[in-house]
Amino acid sequence: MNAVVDDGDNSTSPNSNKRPNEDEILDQLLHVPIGHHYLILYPDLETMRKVYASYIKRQLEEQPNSVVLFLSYYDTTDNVRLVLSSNGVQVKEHEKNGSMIILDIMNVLHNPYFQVPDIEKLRELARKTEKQFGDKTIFIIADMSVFNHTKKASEVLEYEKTLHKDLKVERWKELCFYNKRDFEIMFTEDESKRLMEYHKDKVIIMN
Amino acid sequence: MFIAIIDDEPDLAYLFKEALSQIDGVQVFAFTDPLLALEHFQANHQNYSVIISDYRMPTMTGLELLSKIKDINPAVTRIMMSAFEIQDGLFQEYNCVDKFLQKPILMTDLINEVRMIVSKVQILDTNRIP
Repeated sequence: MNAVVDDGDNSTSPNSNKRPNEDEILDQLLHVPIGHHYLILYPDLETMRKVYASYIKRQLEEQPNSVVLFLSYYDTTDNVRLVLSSNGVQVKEHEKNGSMIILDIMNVLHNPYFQVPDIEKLRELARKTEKQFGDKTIFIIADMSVFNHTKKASEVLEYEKTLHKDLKVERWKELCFYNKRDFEIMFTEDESKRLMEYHKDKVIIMN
Repeated sequence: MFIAIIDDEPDLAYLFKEALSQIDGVQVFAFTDPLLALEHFQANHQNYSVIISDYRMPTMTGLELLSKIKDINPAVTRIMMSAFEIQDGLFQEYNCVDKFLQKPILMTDLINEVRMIVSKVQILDTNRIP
């Protein structure tokens, strides 16, 4: 897997940036500080699988007192479990003790239990999870490509813009994954630039 | 007679293509990109008899794709397959799916389903007044 880390020059061009290897990306994701979130563009499902499987495994090993909340879109929740198990993650055990929650992001968005509109449900879910698990840190991995299909690009822009601010005081960090092609369709060039500006050095573009 | 299978997972698209190629008299095209599939369909729609599409795919959903397919040539049979549940409301909204198949799908079931459609089309073609 090749990847490009955007170093804040607002460019999404894979050729204009340095190319860290898989380990470097993993290292970067593992060291995302609490209260921050990263925007990660992935080229295909296979690449995303490699990243989330390695990341979740290492995250749970290095910080056992944490909860991974994984909101999948292109993979079924059963397939996520399969991918993680194949990578040596004790999925059943983690789900049983509450250190891993795997949900279909579409089911979260359609869940009437959350009395807030669409994308706000993600924030609400994170807050509820944090409340439920007391002093544990919540690591959220969400495939935001869903919002290309639900045609909610403007809401996503607002969400991404305010996420840093809202997360400051809370014990969670979030990795927002987007399929590259969905991302290109969702946002205009100007919106895409604005998103890069919000995230500055917190953008990873994988090839 | 053309058949297209569209699935963003290359391995699955390839498997489906291989399986459906067993049907006599058909040429199967596999696409991982719905936009490319649409482009091919647009140029060759008169040769197509069946389109089989996954639901959740980057760039556009299978429902959006099949809806565009229907607009171009409503005579083509449109099959949707998915490992996910799809809300009834969405089916009604798009009104473009002739048959829904739940994944995982047995290859023999898929082949039988498509073979049946192809036979019907072949009979219609044979009986068509020139």
